[in-house]
Amino acid sequence: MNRILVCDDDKEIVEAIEIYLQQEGYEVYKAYDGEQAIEMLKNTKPDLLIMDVMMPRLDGIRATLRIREESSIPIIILSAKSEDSDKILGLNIGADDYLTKPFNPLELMARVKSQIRRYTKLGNATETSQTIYQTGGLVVNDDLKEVTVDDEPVKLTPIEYNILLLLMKNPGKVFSISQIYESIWNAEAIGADNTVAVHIRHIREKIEINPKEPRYIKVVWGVGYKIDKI
Amino acid sequence: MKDTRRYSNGFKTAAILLQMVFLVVVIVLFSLLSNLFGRSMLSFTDLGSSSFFDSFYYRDILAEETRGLSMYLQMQKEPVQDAENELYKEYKLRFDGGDSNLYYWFCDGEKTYTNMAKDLDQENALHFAKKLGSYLWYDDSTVTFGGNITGNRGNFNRDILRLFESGNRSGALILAVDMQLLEEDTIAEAKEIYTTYFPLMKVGLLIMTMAMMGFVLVIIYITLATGRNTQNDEIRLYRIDYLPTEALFIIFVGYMSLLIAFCARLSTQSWNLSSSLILVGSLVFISDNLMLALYLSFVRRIKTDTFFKNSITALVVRTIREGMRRQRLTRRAMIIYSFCSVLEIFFIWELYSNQSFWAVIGLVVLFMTLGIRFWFQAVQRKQILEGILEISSGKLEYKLQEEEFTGDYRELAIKINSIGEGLSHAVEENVKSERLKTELITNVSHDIKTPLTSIINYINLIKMEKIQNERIENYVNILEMKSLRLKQLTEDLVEISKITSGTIQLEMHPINMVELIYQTGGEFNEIFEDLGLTIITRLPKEPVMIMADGSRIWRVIQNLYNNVAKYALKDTRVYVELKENAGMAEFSIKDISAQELHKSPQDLSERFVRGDESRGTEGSGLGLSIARNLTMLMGGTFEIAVDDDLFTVKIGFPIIKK
Repeated sequence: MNRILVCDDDKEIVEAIEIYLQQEGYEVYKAYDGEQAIEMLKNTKPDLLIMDVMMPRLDGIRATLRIREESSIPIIILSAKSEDSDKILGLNIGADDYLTKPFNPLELMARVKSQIRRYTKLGNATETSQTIYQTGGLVVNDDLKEVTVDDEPVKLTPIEYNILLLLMKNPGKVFSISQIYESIWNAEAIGADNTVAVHIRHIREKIEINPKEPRYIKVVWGVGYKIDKI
Repeated sequence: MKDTRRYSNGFKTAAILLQMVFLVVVIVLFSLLSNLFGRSMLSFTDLGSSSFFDSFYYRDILAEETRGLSMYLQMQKEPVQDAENELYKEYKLRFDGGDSNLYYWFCDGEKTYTNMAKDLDQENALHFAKKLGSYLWYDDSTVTFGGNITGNRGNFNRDILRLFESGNRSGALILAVDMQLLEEDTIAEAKEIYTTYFPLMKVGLLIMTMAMMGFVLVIIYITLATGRNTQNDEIRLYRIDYLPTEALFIIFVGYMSLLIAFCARLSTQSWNLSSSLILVGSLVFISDNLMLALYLSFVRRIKTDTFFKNSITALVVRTIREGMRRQRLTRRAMIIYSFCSVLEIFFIWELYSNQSFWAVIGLVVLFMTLGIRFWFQAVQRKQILEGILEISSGKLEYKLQEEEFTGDYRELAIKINSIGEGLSHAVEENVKSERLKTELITNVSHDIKTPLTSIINYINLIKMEKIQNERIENYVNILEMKSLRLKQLTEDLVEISKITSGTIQLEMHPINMVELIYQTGGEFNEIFEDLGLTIITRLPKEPVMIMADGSRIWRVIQNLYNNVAKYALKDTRVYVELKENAGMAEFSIKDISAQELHKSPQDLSERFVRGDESRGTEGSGLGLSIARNLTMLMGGTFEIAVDDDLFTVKIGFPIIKK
């Protein structure tokens, strides 16, 4: 059973998260400020930390900095600060994920699962074969025509699979709709329409925890789509 | 503090007294010494030695004696006249009486006159003279002078040569003074005076020089110290300093001429020492006080820069200028014009009637002055105009250099600067208050989000319990919907305030509008299908490139699509079109509104205004406002048109070349 430390100065939020986590079968420890979190971290050795930013005594950002001095435990920051700059700061100082309040509890659960899986499986590295493409928790095995996200199989249609494979084979490269169309359908994109965009959205809905804030398939608005190597 | 102590009143009083003492010493010694100079008792050439026989004074006395001697010898050579009898007797007694320190030996070629031993020839006489110490000889046969009495002997020589006017070219004169001065005569007397006074004179000269230096030093100190005090750095002015500067000049000149006239009167009368000392002393005292007061007043005026300001001239100039300033611009121009005209007519008349050359110069100067003034004003006008243009083009912080302008133009420049300042101040205030508003809204939204998180979470938990009661389930659904709307509202609120206050950072990149519309279409495809809306897109085949921030332009298009999804009538068609028109990429989206639209297009893009009025649906009323503000921020145009139920939004961006 994985242990999770939840830290927020709002007791109701901590309790709500506790209920969700317990339903998923996690053991939950609670802390109400940064100092307490650091202390609990030493005593309980949890597998994951969910932490708020704005807290009395020691805020989440400083707590994360101090924890990162000695521990590589996954940290999910949960904050009402929704600016891009806040997110970038949080991720830069060593948090593994950043979720803004108010959050969807199901999304939080999915992210927790994803982080736990990656953390606990970090030791046994996946066998690298030419036909396996991986970024973060997303793995495309071209031999088996199989796609997994955080070890959970995802079912894609052949076209969706081909689009994902195209993007995975060229990490960081931006493909425009017509480029994708031409390479998947092997035809000139004369009357290109929403088709590709719709497929992309479907892929996103299948592989992303929150399709509106995709981690894998990034939309470069007005240019195209890409997958970054994480 | 300790630095200013040297300007204390005690120091200053002491300095004034000291300078007066120095001055009195200088004046008294100067008058005494100059008296001695006048009597040749003191000469600068004598200062090196203290020997009487080397002194100028001695030579002077000797020259006097020689003159007497030469006259006596003349008398002896020629038949003695009655009238000269008394004088002859006197001379005889003086030179041949046996009590003279001056010895002579004279031979005119035939006869020998001497008061030495009678039978001495020329050689022996010279030998005797050398023994005596101080001697002088002249040999007429070789026309040569000799001896050890050096220095300027012009007077001697003339008197001596007069004895040999006969032209025989024979004879000689030998003069000698017994340096022991055994006899009581004029020379011995002179030596006594000399040895008594000469050291005193030297000391007096020394004291005078030192007093002079002391006087100069004290004056320098007073010059530095005047007007200053120990408390602060300000220059204090006295009552005399408020008199016009010209008055001081008049006092100075008046007093000086009085003094000169008075002194001229005095010199014609003789005074004894004590009364002359009293007179000189009191004159010096009065003059010194007055001159010092005037001098220090000048110094203080210069220190406080009031030398000209306090003058009558400056007052007149100021009055004229002030009077001119009071006049209206037009009248002022008239006054200057009339003045110049009168001057010009006067010059021309002078030129014609008297052929005066100075009138030509006057005319030239007049025209040059006018020309320079004209040119100067044109330059200033140009600068003013430039300043106005700069400010009107938005550079509110632009400043005219006020000191570069004169008269009206300076006033104009000052006013323009203050207009610019006011404007920039207002803009600054506005930006600041918008920023504060954003900050407030952001903080409030953070505070709202925390309880909202709990609400959403617990609603979700309630839903996870198996609710049997359908009514309660319905209530919970409403709660969920409203809480999500509240969440949307807070986020939109932060965003709109950030956009309007200009605190967001844009990252402008080339964007293909065609691609963007396809991408958006993909996102909304199923939402529209569920609502029974059919999208008809008319897009060019070629990419249409604009400059925009990718995620912001997506937000704009997304908001427009969301707007359609929320307010369009079900089962209708939505027209999306992208056209190139005169270098602009024009995007338009048209739909049929589900509700009747009562609002004007302007109102619809205002914050919190929604097409349906009922507020029953999920929307914050900020969608169009955000879309419009973002578009404008990125340099695009945003237009809403309402034709009965047909609702159209048009946005335009300049197309960039690939």
